[in-house]
Amino acid sequence: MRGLINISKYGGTVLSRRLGACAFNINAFKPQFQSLRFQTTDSSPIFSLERNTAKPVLSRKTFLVDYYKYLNDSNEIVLFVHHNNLVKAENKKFRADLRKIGANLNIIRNSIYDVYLKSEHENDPADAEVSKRNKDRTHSLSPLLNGPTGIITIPKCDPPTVAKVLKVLNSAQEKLILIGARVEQKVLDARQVDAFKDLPSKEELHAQLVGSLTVLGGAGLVRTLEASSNVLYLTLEERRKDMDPNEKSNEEN
Amino acid sequence: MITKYFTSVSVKFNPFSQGAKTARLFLSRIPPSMKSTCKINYQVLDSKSKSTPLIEVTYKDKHKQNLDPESVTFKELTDKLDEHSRKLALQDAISE
Repeated sequence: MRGLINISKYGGTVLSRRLGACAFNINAFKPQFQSLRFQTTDSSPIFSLERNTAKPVLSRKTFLVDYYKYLNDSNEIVLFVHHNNLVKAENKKFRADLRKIGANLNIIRNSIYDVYLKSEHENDPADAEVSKRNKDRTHSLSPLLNGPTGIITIPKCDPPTVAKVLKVLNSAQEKLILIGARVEQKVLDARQVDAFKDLPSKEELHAQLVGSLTVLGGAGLVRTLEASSNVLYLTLEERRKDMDPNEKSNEEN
Repeated sequence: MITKYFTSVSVKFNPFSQGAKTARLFLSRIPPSMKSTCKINYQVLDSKSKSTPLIEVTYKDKHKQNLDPESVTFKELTDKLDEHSRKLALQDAISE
């Protein structure tokens, strides 16, 4: 009997010691833990353990809200797709194809993504008070969060990459259906995405602009840009002369 | 939902509208094992397109059923589609 009590006592101390060690470990290795989470070095509130989040700080729900924020902040294009019962082989294939292009497929949890969308403008969307405050907001993308949804993220705003992604989606037929997109801050529907993919890339557009400016020549362009302000000045001057009685009499004399 | 007797399905929906939920849930309920027997056509609409949202199902006995996803919930949709599927199931059971 005494032995049993001893064992249980001993066990108790071991257990509490272990717990203590765990707590110590988390604090000691916090930096590594943070970088593991997102592999960035940003000093954002999501890297702190002292947050007042709606769900527990280390829970999956909090993690997902943080992750959706991270995905949206670090990618200029987010394509929304509807996915239909992807079997394992298809899932693997589509993900590999998209990764080759430089895009990434994530299957999202609709209600948690909606929580993020409602307070996307905030610093910490997972925060308890923030999510409570924004509870009744509606976002123009939230109608897309019905049924099985995934997001394809593309880091740079580059139409040719979108064209390649659409090619993969077309090959998937009814397995992956494009339903909408967010390009920088704009919300596009499927047809607008189709038009967007045919645009030249940003660098090409810049080059075209510079080219046309050099062709037009410096002087002509400056005159054109100045024209409207010159006309405005002349009109106002004329008006001033009309209003000023001294000047009128001067002219009459 | 009984999908066993479907031979072709065509779905048109606008993902930003109310009826998208019904249409998308319907699409997702057709199992991959039906791939060889049931043809799936789909069209994604937008605010400017002229055609209206539609769910059309063709059964094994060439019976066609059209439904508007904007006006029915997914539960109502499955109930309506199952009505005819059950008839076919009954015929199957009798002929065996």
